[in-house]
Amino acid sequence: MQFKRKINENLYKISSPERYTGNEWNIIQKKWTDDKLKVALAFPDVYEIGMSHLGLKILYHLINKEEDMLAERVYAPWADMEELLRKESIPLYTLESYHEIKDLDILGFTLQYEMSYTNILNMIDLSGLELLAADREENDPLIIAGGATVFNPEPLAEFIDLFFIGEAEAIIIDLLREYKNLKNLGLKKDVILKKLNKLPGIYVPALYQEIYNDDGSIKELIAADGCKATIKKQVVKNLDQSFYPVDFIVPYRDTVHERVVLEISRGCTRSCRFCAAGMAYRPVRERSIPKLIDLAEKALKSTGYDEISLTSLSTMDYTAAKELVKTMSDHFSDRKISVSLSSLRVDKFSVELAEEVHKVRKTGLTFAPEAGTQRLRDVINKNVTEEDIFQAASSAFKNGWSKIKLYFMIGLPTETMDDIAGIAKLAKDIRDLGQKIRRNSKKRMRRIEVSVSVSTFVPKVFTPFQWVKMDDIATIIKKHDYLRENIVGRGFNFSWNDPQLSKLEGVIARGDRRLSKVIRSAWEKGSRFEGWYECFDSDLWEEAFAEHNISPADYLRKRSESEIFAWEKIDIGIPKKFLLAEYKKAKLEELTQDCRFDNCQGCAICGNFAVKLELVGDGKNDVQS
Amino acid sequence: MYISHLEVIKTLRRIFRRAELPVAFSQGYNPRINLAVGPPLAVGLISQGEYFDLELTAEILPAELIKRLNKVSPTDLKFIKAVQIADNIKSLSSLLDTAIYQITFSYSNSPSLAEEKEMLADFMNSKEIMIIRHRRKKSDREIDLKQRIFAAEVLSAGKWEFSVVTGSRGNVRPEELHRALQNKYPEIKDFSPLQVVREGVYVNTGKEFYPPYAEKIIGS
Repeated sequence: MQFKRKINENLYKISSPERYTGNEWNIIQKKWTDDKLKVALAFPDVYEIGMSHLGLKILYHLINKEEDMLAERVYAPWADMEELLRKESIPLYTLESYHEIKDLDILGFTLQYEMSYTNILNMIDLSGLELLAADREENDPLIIAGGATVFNPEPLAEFIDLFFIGEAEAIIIDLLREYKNLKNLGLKKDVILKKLNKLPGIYVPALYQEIYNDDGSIKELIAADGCKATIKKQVVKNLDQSFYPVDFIVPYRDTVHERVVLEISRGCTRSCRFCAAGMAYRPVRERSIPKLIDLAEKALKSTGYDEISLTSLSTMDYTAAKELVKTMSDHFSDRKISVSLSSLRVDKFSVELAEEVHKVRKTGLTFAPEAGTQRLRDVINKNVTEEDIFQAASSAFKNGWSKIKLYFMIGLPTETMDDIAGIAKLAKDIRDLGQKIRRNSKKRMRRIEVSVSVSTFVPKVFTPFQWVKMDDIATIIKKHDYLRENIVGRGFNFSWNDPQLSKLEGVIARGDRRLSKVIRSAWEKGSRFEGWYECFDSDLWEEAFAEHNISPADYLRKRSESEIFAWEKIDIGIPKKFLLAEYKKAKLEELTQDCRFDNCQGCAICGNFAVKLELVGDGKNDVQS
Repeated sequence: MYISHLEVIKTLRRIFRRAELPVAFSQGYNPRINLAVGPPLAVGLISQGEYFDLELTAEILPAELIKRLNKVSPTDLKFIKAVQIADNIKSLSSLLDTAIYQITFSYSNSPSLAEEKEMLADFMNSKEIMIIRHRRKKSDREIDLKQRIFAAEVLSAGKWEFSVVTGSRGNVRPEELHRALQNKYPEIKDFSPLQVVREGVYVNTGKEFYPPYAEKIIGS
């Protein structure tokens, strides 16, 4: 059913109604006909965050390209909208056609971070669907999920019918078409799911079981008869030729990224040992410069944006970064189109490149040394030296930037209070350097500001640190206290994450199927939008854990090397023994090089998945200008 | 459309870019398209006539301009008319001083058309029409609507039209008109922005309302 009128009559009562109206430029409103497979693409956070998510943009346009399919969008309603929907008995609806979710064939969620899982439950509930996959009806929409945190899908296993592991462009259309065919044959849902589970990258959790030891650890992962034992992540081969949208929807309201977003490459092989994305999205694949210019040209024309953002896990590592930035700037500057870079590396080269594109406004630069001492940076394989950091900072100050943001993690493996002291010292040294450069500068410079932002390290699955114990709350607080006391004075700004929230993230990140119950209880108690500081209430979660006799500490503990992990049925292409070897090297403070610029380091993804590095340049970046 | 004033401006800038118009940019570090808009429209209201001034660096025929703009505009935003103006005339914000709103009322007991006309006449004959204005992040304030209403009439059953002051000399919110009327006539049901249409904004010469592009306005 459609509720457009009722919705529009009520929307003025809530804050930010334009989150819920759709009707943006470039929206795709396809005709609803019986022959089309209808997919709701759901983002479990508010509109302005979801609208900035690249993955969903790609899927939206990819699915809508198919004649016999349509894709529409839905975002998590904020508390006031949830209240309105419930009060007026309006089910959750899509922005394109205002159809309720039950009218569609598939409800697909993107999993971006653990702290949005209760929103997923809320959206299922607001759609008028049962939360548990097992309780849903034959004709209810199939609920599927994929995305960044899908590499450990278990905490959501009870709610989701089917997970898609890896990069969806690879076979999403095949999956949808197969579902449509099976459905047209009149087959029962359980039969369909079993058949879909045979497709590469598809994981139907109901067909798998976790068996536990007496101590609560996992004894065995069991697949139902005839089901594959491991699910291989899907990878796009040849990114340059793969689909990329240009007709981006242009929102009315402010969103996080109001610009043309160009994904210049995918994957990263820097091998930072804490980084989940760095392992999960291998190998590195780059788009070519002519292709990127062409995409930018088309997207600018289609959207009317005045900014292009070059994005990837590590933009500066694009092997022809300098040439790309120069070509882009030259190509678009006469039209007053600005180019921005995401994720600067901590070195002089990055600052120079940033200088190239930020010829006008100099707001702030963010660097992520991640750890305060060289010893600890070597442990995490950050491959950044003290010299890099000071050169980068010096170069930034000299080029007129007065605000620098430094990003660190606390709670990293082997960390001591010396490493924490190192953060404060580094911040002070950088501020002093800035002030000295400012004093000697002939040009007028704003007051130097150094913002130090620390987040708590959360061990993530499929990383070399998936075995380590996460810091407990008391330790985190002690480290925060130290930094708060030692990063004080003129020109400093210190921010940190709520330790309770980090703890919860840590539990769910390495969680298993037993957590489904806890997440459900927390949702029932009213927990939503945990990622939003004002919404997070850790007491609700404590109660939820207690109700099910589950101790968070069991999930935060150090794991033994022989232990079976809940996420091991997923195959990301990198063997456990490589990760373990990296873990051991970390403890010895040994470095691992980047295979883009050095020899193969043996992660084995290329051989295992028949993929290869797709590089555009030689990485030397010595372009003639 | 629930779009704020600033969002409309942003949307316009993007439309100009999509239409690939030869727009003029401001000088300085952060060049912007030279665009000036009329008085803001409250969020949630529909309008049938709003204005903006845009500076171009090349001549385009008005009809051609309208065609190009509408081709790249969202369905609920339409460009109606373009007029070439000299660059030395007064700004829109200093010219436009009148807004005409049409409000559709619902009643708990529907009065006849004649009764409605009487109701409006009584309302307009009040010596003063005091109403509390709620201001965001500021304290409430009492204002007199009486001096801010230029004219009012009943258009048809349940549909009334008010010409009110807007711009630098003050303004009237449709919700305030509705509230003042509801205070006097409790049979009027609660307000929703969907009941209001801004018919247009005008230049008040004291005798008549003119659009800002009228010969009488730009010719003088």
